[in-house]
Amino acid sequence: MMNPRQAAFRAAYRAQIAPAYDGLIHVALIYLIGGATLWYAAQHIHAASWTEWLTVPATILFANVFEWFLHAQVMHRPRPGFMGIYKRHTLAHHQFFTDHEPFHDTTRDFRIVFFPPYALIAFLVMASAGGYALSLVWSSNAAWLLLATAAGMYMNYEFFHWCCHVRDDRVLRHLPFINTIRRHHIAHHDTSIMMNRNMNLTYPFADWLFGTSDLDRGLLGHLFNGYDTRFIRRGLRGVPSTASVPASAAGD
Amino acid sequence: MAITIRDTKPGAAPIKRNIASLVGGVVIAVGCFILCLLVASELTAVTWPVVLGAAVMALAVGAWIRVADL
Ligand SMILES: [Zn+2]
Ligand SMILES: [Zn+2]
Ligand SMILES: [Zn+2]
Repeated sequence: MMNPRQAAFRAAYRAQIAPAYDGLIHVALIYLIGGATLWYAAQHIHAASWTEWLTVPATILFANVFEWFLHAQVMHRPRPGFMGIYKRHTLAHHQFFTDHEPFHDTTRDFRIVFFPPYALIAFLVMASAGGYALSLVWSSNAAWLLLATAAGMYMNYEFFHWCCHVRDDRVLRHLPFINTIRRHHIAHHDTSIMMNRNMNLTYPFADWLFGTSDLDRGLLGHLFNGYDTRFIRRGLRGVPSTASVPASAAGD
Repeated sequence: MAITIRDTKPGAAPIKRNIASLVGGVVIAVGCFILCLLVASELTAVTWPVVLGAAVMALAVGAWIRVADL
């Protein structure tokens, strides 16, 4: 059930969304830019060796720790020069979505679900700089694989995060990784743990590695936990742990 | 992602847009222009009409970011 404070925030937020905004155009732009970059990078990979292909898992692991770091240290901490990001996330995204009511209603709510597209451009510029450095010291195949993987991981992140905030889970609850991040991220929206737990937004690898998960189990258990509430650490949350999964998800 | 809370009379249109969408619009326009040219260069020869098409597309996307205050 939504408390009055959250309902008031939602009403005020929605009233400010510009009439020209369209959630589907927003998402289409992200996937056109990300998809075009991935395709362009893939055109430049020629007979990559297996060591060059290792750039893919290395980039996935790096992106996972990077996402964890950005979420914990920038999105949830007021840092000079990055205050806008803190306000948008901690003071807006977390007010709009709580662990008790984590779902969006219409595609206009995509305004607060998906990052603005310039965030993607910023990440692609960073990945391109990293790729350029890699091409100088090692291999251009590795550089293009890095860029393609980075673009893919960004689109992966946006899709998984939307999966956390969409109401209908009849299919999602059965999909590995997606069911895991859905429980993991909705629990993160509990204000009593949001500042220091469950910072991953794709696969809870870095949360497992650095001990910042609300679960007490091994790596494979973390990755394939799904909606399971049996391994939730006790005493972390201000409310009983079963409240982390919304009623529609907890009951069978 | 949020926009700054503004004081608006009920039913009134937002008075001004966020500065972030101006910066964002420019960044997106430049990014889209470069990306369009790179993709086009893989598919065809980059001629002046192609450059013009990329510029029109990039400007349209950047302008939409601004008016949508995204
Ligand atoms: Zn969220
Ligand atoms: Zn709660
Ligand atoms: Zn958060």
